[in-house]
Amino acid sequence: MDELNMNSRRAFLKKTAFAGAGVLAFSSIPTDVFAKSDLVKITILHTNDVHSHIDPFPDNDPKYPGLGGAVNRAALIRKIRTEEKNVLLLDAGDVFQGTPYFNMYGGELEFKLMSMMQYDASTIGNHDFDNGLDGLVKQLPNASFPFINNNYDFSDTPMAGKTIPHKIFMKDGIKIGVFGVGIALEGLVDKRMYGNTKYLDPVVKAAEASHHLKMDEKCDLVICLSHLGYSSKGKQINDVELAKQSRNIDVIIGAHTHTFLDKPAEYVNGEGKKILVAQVGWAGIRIGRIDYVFERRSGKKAAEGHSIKISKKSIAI
Amino acid sequence: MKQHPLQYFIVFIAIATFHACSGPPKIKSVDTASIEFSPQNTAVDSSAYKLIAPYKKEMDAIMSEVLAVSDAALTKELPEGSLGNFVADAVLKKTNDAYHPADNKKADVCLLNNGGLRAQLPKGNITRGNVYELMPFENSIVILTISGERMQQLFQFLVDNNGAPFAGATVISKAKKITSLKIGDADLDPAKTYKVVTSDYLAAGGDKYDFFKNPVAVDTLNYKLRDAIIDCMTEENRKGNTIKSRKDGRIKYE
Repeated sequence: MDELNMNSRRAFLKKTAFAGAGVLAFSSIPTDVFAKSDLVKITILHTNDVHSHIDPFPDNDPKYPGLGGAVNRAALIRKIRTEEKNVLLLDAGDVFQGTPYFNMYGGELEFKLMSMMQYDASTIGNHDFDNGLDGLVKQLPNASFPFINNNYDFSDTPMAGKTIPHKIFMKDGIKIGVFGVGIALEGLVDKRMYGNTKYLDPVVKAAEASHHLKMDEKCDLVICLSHLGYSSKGKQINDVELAKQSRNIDVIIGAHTHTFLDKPAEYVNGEGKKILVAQVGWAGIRIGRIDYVFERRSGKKAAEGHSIKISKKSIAI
Repeated sequence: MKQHPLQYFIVFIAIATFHACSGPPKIKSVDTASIEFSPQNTAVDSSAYKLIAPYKKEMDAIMSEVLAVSDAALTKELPEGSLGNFVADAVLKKTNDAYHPADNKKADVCLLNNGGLRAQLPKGNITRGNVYELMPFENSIVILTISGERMQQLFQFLVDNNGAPFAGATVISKAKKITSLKIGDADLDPAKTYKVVTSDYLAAGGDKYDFFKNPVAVDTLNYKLRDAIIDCMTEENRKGNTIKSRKDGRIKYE
């Protein structure tokens, strides 16, 4: 689908009786506005690097007092689900490690909670290897959602056949393709933990996967779940570089660098088209939200994103 | 794009108008800042709460145990921080308490990585949970024997990279050049070998600590870093000592 430019976007918004409002938060448009129209709204919710932070930070925490917590996150997601018809809930990896919940239960509760919140998919972060490949395999039965990755070759490991390279979600006739890429493990993860996992070039694998999803599968939206990191001072590949080199990705939902982006950053891809890069810090302090509106007939789409602080009193940023 | 409050007002009116034309007006708030979540009053909250509760109860019973008391908060700082000092000192001490090699030579220094310290320690009661959050990884202690020349490279790396948690040495540099390096109380002797305590993660090439590659010898202790910290704390507490938050100038830039 083509991006809507400012003028066509205005014309397009006019159809929803918002003439004169200019650009507005799509999240504020009630779902029933779309009921009889040619428009479809898709709400993408995303988390990253939750790192076993099941309890909120204590109220006396100097940096994040009272923030985060799985109970509050579940409440917020539930509320959004009551307001929005087409929700896709994704995680970009590092579900594991960071509180004694992981030391004691190995990620069991983290996966059970994500299943309860009805996550649609996750990718794999470097800390998800922290109890070794066997430790990850052991917890998979607690996850009702798939793990999506394109650039780890697990064929010679206990994880063989336990991940999928991509998944296509149909929401109200809109086809959404999701694939995933992970970070280089050597020097970052103990070799004994990742065993014979082979790391493949994420740029090459992302190009293959996104081309397949966009061109062969004709997806209306292509999402990359990435654990590469937002940007890095060194030469290592990261989300910003991947975005600039890419051709068929609409949005990269990132992780690893614990970067707090108040809203998705916009970059220009290898073909001069707009691509979004999102990431919402860590520890379940925030949840990211990107609302896409698709016009079925023209094939055009527009996006608006922001992040929401998770607390007893959740605040849009 | 910046949203002027006026735009919100227009949007608000637009929604109201739209709904007025198509049925009973149903206005939804634009400002999510007004939405509050009370963990008690929704179904999913109570189910998440119920799912967590038995795990939390069991965990809290273990993790709330007070191991020691600190005189001040221990903080993570570079080039030198009270947290890094305490952890490196504790690991060096507890390693040597447990280390009885054939050559009878104890470890000289301890070197860890700042990124491996995952939380700071509070003033006052330090619980088992605090130590798990500080050191969540299951890494074990290894003792590497390296040449004096390698040891010099190790400290040059520290000087170049604005420090890291270490114990058993004092290094002074000027314009990133080492002017003094003491291992224990004596100047480094490039002709000697030394023993460095570190984690199996760093010894295996983690964080690009390349000077640990191909050591003269490797001794492993079946002893986790976290357990060494816990053992040091309980020992101090048993002796009636508080955990001291201190910086002693073990790395100096002149």
